[in-house]
Amino acid sequence: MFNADIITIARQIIAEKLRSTRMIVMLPILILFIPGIAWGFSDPDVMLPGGVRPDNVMEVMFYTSLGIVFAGTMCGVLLSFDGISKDRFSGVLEVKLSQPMPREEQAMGLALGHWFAILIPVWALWLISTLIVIFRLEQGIAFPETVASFASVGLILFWYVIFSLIASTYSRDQGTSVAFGVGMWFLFTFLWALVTSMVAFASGVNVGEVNNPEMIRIEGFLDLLSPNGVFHHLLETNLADVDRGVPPIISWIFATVWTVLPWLWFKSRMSRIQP
Amino acid sequence: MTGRALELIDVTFRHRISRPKFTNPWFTKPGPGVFGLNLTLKAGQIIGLVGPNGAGKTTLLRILAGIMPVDEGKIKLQGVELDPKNGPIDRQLRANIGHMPEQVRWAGSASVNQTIHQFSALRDTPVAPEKLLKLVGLSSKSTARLDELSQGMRQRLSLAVALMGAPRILLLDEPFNGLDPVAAKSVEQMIKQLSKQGVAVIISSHQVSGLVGFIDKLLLIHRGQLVANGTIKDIEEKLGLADRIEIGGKGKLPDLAKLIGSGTILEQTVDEENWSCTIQHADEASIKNIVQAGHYITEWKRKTPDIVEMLCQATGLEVEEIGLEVQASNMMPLKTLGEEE
Repeated sequence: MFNADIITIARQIIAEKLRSTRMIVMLPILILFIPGIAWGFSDPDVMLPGGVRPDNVMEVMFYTSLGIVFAGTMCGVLLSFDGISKDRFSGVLEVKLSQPMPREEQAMGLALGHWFAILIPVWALWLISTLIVIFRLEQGIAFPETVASFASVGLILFWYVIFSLIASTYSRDQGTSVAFGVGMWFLFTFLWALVTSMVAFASGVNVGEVNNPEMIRIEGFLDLLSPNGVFHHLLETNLADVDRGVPPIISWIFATVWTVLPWLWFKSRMSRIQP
Repeated sequence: MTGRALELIDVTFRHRISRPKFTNPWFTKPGPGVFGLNLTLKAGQIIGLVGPNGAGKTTLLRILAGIMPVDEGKIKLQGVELDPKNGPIDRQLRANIGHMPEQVRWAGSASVNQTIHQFSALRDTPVAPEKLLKLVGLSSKSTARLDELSQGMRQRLSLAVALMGAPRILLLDEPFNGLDPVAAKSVEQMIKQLSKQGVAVIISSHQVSGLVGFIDKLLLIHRGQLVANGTIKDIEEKLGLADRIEIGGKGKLPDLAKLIGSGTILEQTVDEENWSCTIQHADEASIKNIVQAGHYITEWKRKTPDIVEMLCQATGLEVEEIGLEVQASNMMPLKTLGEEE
């Protein structure tokens, strides 16, 4: 499945993206949103809306995941929206497509390259954030929780990157590509709450009651249909006192579906793409 | 020039044109492409592929490069028909063919060397970048960023990538675009050298004039079909464009009908001081006769055919008709219209 050539391609994309102007612009935003939020939420005197006071590392990291949802995913989109369309526009795609390497392997190299280009800085900042929280709360964390936390961050970035790349295979100009990526980010980051509320309202649930068990159940189910929701479900598997009616195994199954289906879509697009 | 490097037998490919419907927003219908192409490319042969904009040159090159599929027809590589049982046909083609598309705008912070390495991974072949870059005259720019390259240098980089892995067949789409005359000449010499080593080359161009004396065979393509195929001399003769001379002079226009013997006057123009004419199959003594008749000749040369003349002769269309047609994206082939058309 993997070979040295795929890794060579991925490594070159990573090197180029990490040194790009875009990354230089996005890095302060990521630092502000990820370790910045972790620092703020790990303050012993912090009081979140609703009287919530996070008191363990995984809970603080759960709230810190807002930084991933708002900044990490957006930066993933902005880094990969032109992954294919730029090459198509410049004519380089035609040169690449005329090489003997199977299109599936080219797709793999592209996906890995773009994913790791955002994953490396975000994971580094996530690690720093975890260390900040451990240091400030003077608590430790279990290894499986840490693995689940990092895996969740990796997966949500993969979903956004792969959707951006799919959009990039369709678009013949940069505008369409970025519009699709940002639009998808906007839908799942902001508008999904509206979708959830509308479905709940249509189901006869009082939308205003946030602690209504029926509302929590509907929200828990609808979150499985959004990458951000699945991401939060995965992080919630680390929290002891959260139950939204979705067992961890279901969350991981949906995470697999969100990973495999877009990947197959992207692979199929790449095997049929024309310059 | 013995073995058959590549053979196309009744190859057809049509682009899909998007025609969204209310019931099916993704509906597409067959559009222009290439139709029933038959072509043989021998090892070491240099073929010029000439046609107006939108004729199907790039589509044909993309089919040969394994980028676009074949809807119908067969392709033989080194005499062996490509069989899907031996892996995808496009991949079999790509492993044997080097492709240089038209005007690739290489850009980014990667260096020329890094780009060569990236493509060597895509080609799964070890490459000595220094040797390759020296071959295309780019060795002094090996560490330069792609953003720093001029258009001519980008053309050379495209050529270097096409030459990777020592392909048996080379497809060059407008290779001389953006090159200065010295670079163009050196590329021409390099192509001739490769040809001597048995590499078959197809060069796509809008112009016949740049290919005269350089190519072994000319393919004239129009509306996705080959309208002429052979040496330039053969095509000229077939299309009635052979043996033409242009004569220009000063003073009064000679009585050409009397002076050129059995030749045919194709065109003559006169202004206040000068005159010029084009004569076909003129007698050997024509020039001598004109001079002896007291006329002053300033110019006398063989008229090389241009693409417009060839297309007009081959298709029976007027220049205006061809000119307007090539701008239409939904142009259809001259023959074998499908039922939906």
